[in-house]
Amino acid sequence: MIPWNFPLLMLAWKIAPALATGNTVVLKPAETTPLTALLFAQVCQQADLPPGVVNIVTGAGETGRAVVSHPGVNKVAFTGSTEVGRLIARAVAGTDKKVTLELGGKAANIVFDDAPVDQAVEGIVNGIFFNQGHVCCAGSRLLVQESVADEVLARLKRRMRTLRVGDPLDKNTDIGAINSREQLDKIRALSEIGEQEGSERWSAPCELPTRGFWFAPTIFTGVTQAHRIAREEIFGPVLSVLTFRTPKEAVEKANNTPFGLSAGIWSDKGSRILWMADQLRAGVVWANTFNKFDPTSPFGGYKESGYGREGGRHGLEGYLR
Amino acid sequence: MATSFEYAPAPESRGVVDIASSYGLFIDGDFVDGSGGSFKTISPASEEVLADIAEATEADVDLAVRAARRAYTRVWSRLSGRERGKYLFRIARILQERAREFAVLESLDNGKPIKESRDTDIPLAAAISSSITRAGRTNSATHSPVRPTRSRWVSPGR
Repeated sequence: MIPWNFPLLMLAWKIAPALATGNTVVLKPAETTPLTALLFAQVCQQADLPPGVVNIVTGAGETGRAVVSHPGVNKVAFTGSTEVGRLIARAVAGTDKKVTLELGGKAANIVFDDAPVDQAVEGIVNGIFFNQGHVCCAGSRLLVQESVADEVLARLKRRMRTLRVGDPLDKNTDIGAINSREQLDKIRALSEIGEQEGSERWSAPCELPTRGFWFAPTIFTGVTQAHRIAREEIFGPVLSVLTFRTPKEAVEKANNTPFGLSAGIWSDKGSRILWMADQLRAGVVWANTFNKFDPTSPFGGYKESGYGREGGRHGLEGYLR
Repeated sequence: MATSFEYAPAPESRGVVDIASSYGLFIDGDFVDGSGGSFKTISPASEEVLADIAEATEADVDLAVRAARRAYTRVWSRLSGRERGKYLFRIARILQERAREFAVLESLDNGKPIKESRDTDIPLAAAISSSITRAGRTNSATHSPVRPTRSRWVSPGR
C-alpha cells in the first residue's frame, strides 16, 4: 500500500525487497496516482515475470481495507499517513500478519551559527520545498540559532523569490502542483490556523496558474512549540521557523514532537554534529545536507513515524520470517 | 533584492507517453476488468482527466491474493535467490530504458516537477531494484548468508 507522493519510487521500495526474498505481491497504489504503477505492470509483462508474482489493484480506502484484512495476506507494508497507519495496525492486531509502517514526520532542520549560510539555505529549501513538501521526512521545522536567525531568514527569503512555481513538465520548474484538492485544502486550513495562532506568514511572490492546485512556497516566523503548525504534519510547501540559543535547547525542541523520522544538522563542527545526531530521536539524521536517499541504507522512524526499516539489508527483514 | 530570472518555457514532450482512456486491474499477469466501478485520475496541474481507473472490490482483491498465492507456491518461492534476482535486474534495466516515459507520466499524474521525477524518483526506483538484487542473492541455496544468525532467511509465506 503506497502513497501518492513518490508513486513509482515507493512501488519499487516495496516490490523489490518483497520479490528478492521470494514473496509475491498485491500492490495498491494511491488513488490519485495510479498511472506509473499501471505502466509498471506492463514492465512486468515485458520482463516475462511469471503471472501472479506482481498484482496491482487500484482503488481508494475500501480497496486498501480489503487488501489489509484479506486472510491470505502474510505481510502488510504501508507508507502513508499516521492516521491510516493506525487503522492498519488495528486491522492486523491479533493476526499473524507482519507489518511495517512508514508514516508521518515533522523533521527539525537545525542551523547553528557556524554553519555555511548559503549551503544551509539551499538545504532548507531542498528540505521543505522538494516535491512541494509532500515528503514524509521533509524538514518542516527550521530551528535556527538566534544569533544568525535574521541573516538566515533574509537569505532564505531572497532564495525563495527565485523559486519557479508552475508547469510540472517544464524543465525549469522548481515547484509543481499540489497533488490533490483535498491536500490543498488541508495545507490552506493549517496555514490559516498558523496565522490565527499568531505566527507571521510570508509567501514568495509568484504568479500561480489559474487551473489546478497550487500553493506558493511559504514560511511562518514567530512560531512557538505550542502552535499547531509546529506540531502537525502539513505535507506541503510550508516551513515553520523556530529559534534556539544552545545545542541542548535545539535537541529539546527537535525531539518535542510525536514523530521521529528524520532531522538535519548544519554546523562546521564535527563533534557537535555527532553529539547532536546521538541525541536526536529520529531514524535518519543528515549532516550538512538534507533529503539524501541511498537504496542501500535503511530508512524508517521512531515513535508515531512508524516501525520497521526499509532499504538495504535491514529492509529485507520485514519480508522474512 | 534578487528577482526571478526570466526563463523561456522548456516543456518536456508528452509525446513519449501513451495513456489509455481506461485501465483495468493487473491480476495474474493480465489486465482484467474489475467487478466494481471506476474513478478518474487527473493531472493536478491542469485538472485534466487523464484516465478512467478500475476500482477493485473485495472480490477483485480476493482474486489478486489467490493469484499471488498460486504464483508463490508454484513458481516464485521455488526459484533460488539468484534466479529471482535475474528478474529484478531485468525490471531495473527496463525501468532505466523507459525512464523518460516514466518521468513524464509521473509528473503528469502527480504534479511534481519533471526535473525531480527525471533525476530522483525514476533513477532511485531503478537503483533500488538493482541494489536489492545483490542483497537478495544472499538468500539463495548457493550462497550462505553473511551472518549465520540470519540462516532463517526464508520468506514469510506458508
